[in-house]
Amino acid sequence: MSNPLQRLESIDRRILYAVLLIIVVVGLLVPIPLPLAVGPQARGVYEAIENADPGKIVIVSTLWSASTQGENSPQTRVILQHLMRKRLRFALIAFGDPQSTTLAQELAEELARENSYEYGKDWINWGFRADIAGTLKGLVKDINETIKTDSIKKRPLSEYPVMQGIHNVKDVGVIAEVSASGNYVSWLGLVVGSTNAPFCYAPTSVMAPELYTYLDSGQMKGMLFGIKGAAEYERLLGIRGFTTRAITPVSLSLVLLFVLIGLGNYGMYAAKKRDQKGANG
Amino acid sequence: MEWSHPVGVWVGAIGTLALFSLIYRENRLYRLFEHLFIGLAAGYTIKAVWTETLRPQWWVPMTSEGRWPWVFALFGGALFYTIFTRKYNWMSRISIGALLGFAAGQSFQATANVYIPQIRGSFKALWVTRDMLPPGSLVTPLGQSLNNILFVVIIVSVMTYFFFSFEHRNKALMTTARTGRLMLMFAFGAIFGSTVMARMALLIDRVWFLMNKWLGIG
Repeated sequence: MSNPLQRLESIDRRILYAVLLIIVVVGLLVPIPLPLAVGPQARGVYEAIENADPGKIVIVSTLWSASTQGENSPQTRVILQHLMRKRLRFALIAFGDPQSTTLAQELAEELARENSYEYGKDWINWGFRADIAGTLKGLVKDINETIKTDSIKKRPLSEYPVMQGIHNVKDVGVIAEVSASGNYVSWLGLVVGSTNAPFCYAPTSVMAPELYTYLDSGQMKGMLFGIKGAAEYERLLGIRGFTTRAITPVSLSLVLLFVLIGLGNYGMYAAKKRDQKGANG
Repeated sequence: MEWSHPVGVWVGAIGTLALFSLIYRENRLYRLFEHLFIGLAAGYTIKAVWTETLRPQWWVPMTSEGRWPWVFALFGGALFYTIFTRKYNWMSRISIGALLGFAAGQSFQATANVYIPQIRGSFKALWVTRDMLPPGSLVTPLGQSLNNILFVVIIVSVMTYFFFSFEHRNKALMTTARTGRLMLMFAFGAIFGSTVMARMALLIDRVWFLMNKWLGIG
């Protein structure tokens, strides 16, 4: 390999990881004020919560675990921050992975302390439910009978002031799901389709591109597109949290990827050309 | 003990570094923490299913509220395990059949509610006037018209690509299907880009944890 560009094809992956790590660390320590346009997807979630009926409850459904908390945790955080700022009462419910009930509860407790939100009066944790379809169909008919007790104190829901006047999905102002899975199909199919409850979705970036059809059809009022969506939401709320800081290393690492893909392809092209030259004598 | 406790932060940091050590090369520390993580997650799930679902929804009503017929649920659930015996594995089909029936019934309702609004949403005006736009829309009527035309072209071409009932010999059909394939490539490219962003977000979260929570930087 006489041409150094041809060596690009066989760079040790550990060198690439080291460069990536340096970029991430520098990006986190020295945030570059990059422009961040707030898209209609994030604005849709914001407006759904902003226009929610204060007499109704907001359901924050979570289906994520520690493995995707880099995206799902900031999404849950900004939604809860907005709910508390609007003084809307909310209920947490978790499906799929029981880690999410604990992780979402930790976030809610931290924010509740900062915003003087009282458990049982302003918010409640309905806990983890293994049976997604059965629970969702139950919520449409009778929330108290379906959930029965809360997750923290194990007391009947009807004993909590936050549940006063809340009987079924008709008493729900907004449903917001933060998810690392395709649970939106269950919500749309079993709850939203038959009740027209406003539904917002906060998926990981991997899932987000295939969900635009649901936004286009109006089945989803808004969507937080992974960590970028959470950063847009922070901008709408006027706060500078983790995602605002994280957007710099996200952008820099994507630029690095572009450069590496370009160099790798050039290296492959150069090697191919050399081989052709060799074959022709 | 909360995870933000110093001991929790140290355990988290050691676990993160051990799992990232795979980037350098395969090693025993990585394997140890991988097994620890899987074991903890599985154990936590079993505990949570009992405390959050089975105990309040099944055990307490059955033993304390007089709803004794719930005991038959145990029998129905136990039938699944007969699959491990050659002699009685036919019994597991009773439970599996019942479960499939429930799932099929629910999916009828869900499928209609999920896809009919999308079919309805795919009928778009190809020429949009200003009064057809929602109030406050930043899109011009011409821009919305072009958007809708593009939408219809893409949906028709992609559906043509997946039309396998007869061979694509007709030139118009071949061109449309090829356009559909090209559009799918664009979509896969977008999904790949988003996947990279998602993975970067997970890395950044862990690096920030190590820097901020563990080392106190930033």
